[in-house]
Order: sequence, then C-alpha cells, then structure tokens
Amino acid sequence: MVTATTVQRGDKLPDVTLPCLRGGEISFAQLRGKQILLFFWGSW
Amino acid sequence: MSVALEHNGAERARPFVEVAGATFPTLVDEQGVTTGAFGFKAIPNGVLVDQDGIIRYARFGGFSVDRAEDVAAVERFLAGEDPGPGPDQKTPYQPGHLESELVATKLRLGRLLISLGRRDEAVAEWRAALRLDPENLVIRKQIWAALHPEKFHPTIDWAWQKEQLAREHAEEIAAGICGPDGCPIPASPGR
Repeated sequence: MVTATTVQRGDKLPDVTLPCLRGGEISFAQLRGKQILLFFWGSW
Repeated sequence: MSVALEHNGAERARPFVEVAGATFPTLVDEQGVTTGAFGFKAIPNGVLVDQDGIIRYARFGGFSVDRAEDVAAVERFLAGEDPGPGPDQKTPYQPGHLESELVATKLRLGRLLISLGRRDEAVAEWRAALRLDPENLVIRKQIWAALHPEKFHPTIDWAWQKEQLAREHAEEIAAGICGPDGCPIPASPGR
C-alpha cells in the first residue's frame, strides 16, 4: 500500500506488520489503547 | 517503539539498540514497507499516535531530542494535551500517485539488486526514482551509501552529506531537472 502524500496529523496510523528484534512480529493495528511515540531511524 | 530502516536487516540494527539500552521494542523494516505506507522522504522521524490510532504530531526528517519543539510535543502529549501542529512539511513538488508507486517499487527493486551484488543496476534504479522524486532523501541516501560506503562506516560523515546534497542540488538545477524551489516535471493526472 503506497501513499502519494506523506501521512500527517489527523490521519490514521497506517497498518503495517513488521518483525521485532526480540523475536515475533508486531502490527501497528495492535497498538490501539496506548499512546505511542514511533521513532524511525537508520544507520545512514 | 522504534522502526529501524535497515535493508541489511536486524543484525545491522541490533548494535545500536544494545548501545542505547532500549527497553521498548524495535521493529526492523528491511523492505521499506513503512516508506511506502507513510510516504516519508527522510529520517529520523517521530510520530505521536493517540489511543485511537490517530496521528497527533509528526516530523519526518530531523526529529530529535535536541529539537525543543519535538521534546515539548512529546511532553504535552504524555500530559494528555495537544502536542501542537508540528512542522508544515509540504514540499513545492509532490509526485502524483503513479510516480509514487513507481518510486516505491524502484526503491525495493534497488534493494533486491544490492542484495544480489548488482550495485550499478541498483544505483540506476534509484537514480531513476530520484528523477521522479528529487526531494526524496531516503532514495538519495541509498545511492550515497552504495557509492560511498566509507562515508557511512564506521561512522556517518554528516558534513560530507551536507556538501554532497548541495553539489547534487546545484547539478540538478543546472541540468534543468529541478528549479530552485522544486521539480518542474509535471505529475501524472489523477493525483
């Protein structure tokens, strides 16, 4: 699912499922009910 | 929660997480799924999401503990207040929907080619993607990391990145690919 414009304030968090470093997977849809700070980074 | 955008995978991300002593989960995005879904063109990014899954604040590129606006937004958010409007991140040029799909596909194709040891073909795909989306720092940095790995390991040469960006922007303006305020290539219809 690709968006043409960057997500912004007021948008729903896109639902993505990714593997976790500790093992297993997390899907963003599972995060309801909590306040989240999502931080994206890279070694570049 | 953090998302590590590492096409070399978990083992590239793990040392940073361990050094940081992070107690929160780190997810690994090898394929660039989040770049496509969120549409961001730079990192580091901070996104504040409320309990209903709605984004309350977002900064794409330059989100940092050293930026007072970002720290204040997080503090207000945790206190149950409105974090504030956040940065206006519209760029002068927005690719249309078809271009965005093509750019996301070329980003992934390039990563696949790199993993197969076909570096020059990967760089060619990324250069084509950058023509379509010249504001896209994620793609630009894939090219840099492929052609100048010594500027990224063992440490990132941030001064070099700043100079390189200025050099490339000047070339793109001189070549008529972009104007000083953004790219003149028209977007596809149906955007």
